[in-house]
Parts: sequence; C-alpha cells; structure tokens
Amino acid sequence: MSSSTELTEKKVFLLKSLDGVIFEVEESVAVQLEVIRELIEGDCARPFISLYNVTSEILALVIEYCKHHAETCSGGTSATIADEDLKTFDNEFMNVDENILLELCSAADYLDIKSLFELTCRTLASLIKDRTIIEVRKMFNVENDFSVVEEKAVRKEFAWAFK
Amino acid sequence: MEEFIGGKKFDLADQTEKRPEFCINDNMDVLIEILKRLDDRTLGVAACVCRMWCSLTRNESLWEHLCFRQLSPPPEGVRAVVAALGGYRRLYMGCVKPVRELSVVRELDRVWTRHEVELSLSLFCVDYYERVLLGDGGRLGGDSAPSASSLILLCKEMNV
Repeated sequence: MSSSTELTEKKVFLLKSLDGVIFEVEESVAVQLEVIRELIEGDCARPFISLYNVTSEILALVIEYCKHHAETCSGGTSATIADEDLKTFDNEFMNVDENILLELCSAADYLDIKSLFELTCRTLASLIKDRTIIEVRKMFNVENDFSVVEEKAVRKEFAWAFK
Repeated sequence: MEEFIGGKKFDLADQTEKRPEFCINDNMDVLIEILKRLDDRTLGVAACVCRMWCSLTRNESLWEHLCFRQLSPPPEGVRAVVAALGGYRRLYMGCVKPVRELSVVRELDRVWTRHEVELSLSLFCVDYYERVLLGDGGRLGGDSAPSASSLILLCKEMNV
C-alpha cells in the first residue's frame, strides 16, 4: 500500500541538453519521451539524463509541449474539450520558423515522442505544398546539385506535377 | 560551462549563436517521413529539388505509402505481385491516381474502400497484360497516363 507521502510527492527528473543546461521535469512529462521512459523504468535516470542531440532552446520547447499535453490529458476536462484545447495549442506551437520546426522534428524523432514527431512532419509537409522548386530550396537551404542535363531530365520525368 | 537548473535562467540569444547549422538533408530518416506526408504533385516537385530528394522520391516504399495511405489496414501480401507487375509508382500513376480522380468524391484525403483498391489492382493486371504480354513495352516511359490501350478509358470521358 502506498503511503500518503508517496501519493503527494511528485517525482522529478533532470534532463541535460547538449549545451549543458539542466531542466527539471516531472515524471508525467518525462515519460512522454519514450527514450527517457525506458531509462526511468531501468532505474538509470540518476543523477541526470544527458541528451546529446538536443540544444537547450529546443529542449525547452519540447518540455513545454509535453507539459501542456500532460496537463491537458490529466486535467479532468471532457475528452472533446481537451481535444480542442490540444488542437489550438498544437497550431500555435507550430507557429515557428522552418529551422526550429526541423530541429523539433529531429528532436522528437531522437526522443521518440510520436505525437510531436507526427505534428512536426505534417507541418513541414504542409509548408512544402504549393511551392515552387526554387522556393523549397530556399526555405530549407538546400543546394541545387543537379547538372543542367540532370535537372532537365528530372523535370521531364515529373512534368505531370507541374501541370 | 555553467549549468542552471530550470529552463528559464539561460539567455536565449546566447544559445542561438551556439546552435549548430541544421540542414534537412542531414537527417535522411526525418526527410523520408516528411516526403511520406506529401501529396503526389508536391512529391513530384520535391523530386526536382536536389539529387538526394530525387533519389528518395524514386523509392518504391514512398509510392507504396501513397497508394495505400488512405486505407487502414493496408492490403497485405500484394507487395511481391505489385513489384512483379511493374512497381508501386506505376501502379499509383497508372491505376490509383486516375481512379481516384474519376471518383465522385474528389477529396484526395478521404478514406478509400477496399473495393476501390481491388479495382486499381485489377486495372494494374490489365495494364501489365497489354504492356508486357502483348509487347507494348515501348511505351514504358509514359508515366502520366496508363500505358495499356484499354486503360485509356481512365483518361477520357465517355458518352454512353
């Protein structure tokens, strides 16, 4: 049987970003990061968990996302209201530039947060839609490494996409 | 390096400077997942961005996903047959896209019925029969329309 102190005391975990900033997060937030959940279950989460691929700027955003999702889901509101609330939050949360989106996407992949990964992938895909080749290259800072002949051939191969 | 507890006590401007250059092409797995969520036309545009995007776009798994992403669960056990008949890209361009565009409900993201998939796969067999078995192999380059003459019906309106 759990004593009352165990029920009220919230477990916290420390996450250390690539650039050395330590974040304190509650268990309900930490378990949303699938990689960390495994560490917690294996009791390897002390004294802190080093996340070598995520900068503090991005980790702060990831934690904000997980916190909001954890709070909304446990808030006791009805499922439809919670859904609406999350949708609004997600939309606003995605209102950042492409570079941040890409880093968030990559971090969600690394930390194994499925909902955030899906959200960022979908948002990035929607940014590509209805843009020209040149606009896409510019947006993601991708160099055109085709030779003139190659580019002509590939444009011909996919000519139906430009009709 | 100094460490702080909590997210609020660090200087954001300082961190931005340290942020490593991040390029979409550095993480191929992420790029594939993004490409998987594009519609067909956007995928065609994406193919022309650079060599890497082009080679990823030619990957059959992307076209397989495009063929069946509106169907849950996706059809099982057809992969080997589709590959033998010409591959998912051909299946999509020749028999899935036209069927979808002909259908009454034109929303591309609507859920597909199993019957529609079966229809597309049947048409793909007709396409293979006429293209390969009847020796019409010379039209393999045509990617935008079904190459089998019987499937021309998918591109034309018929007066009945």
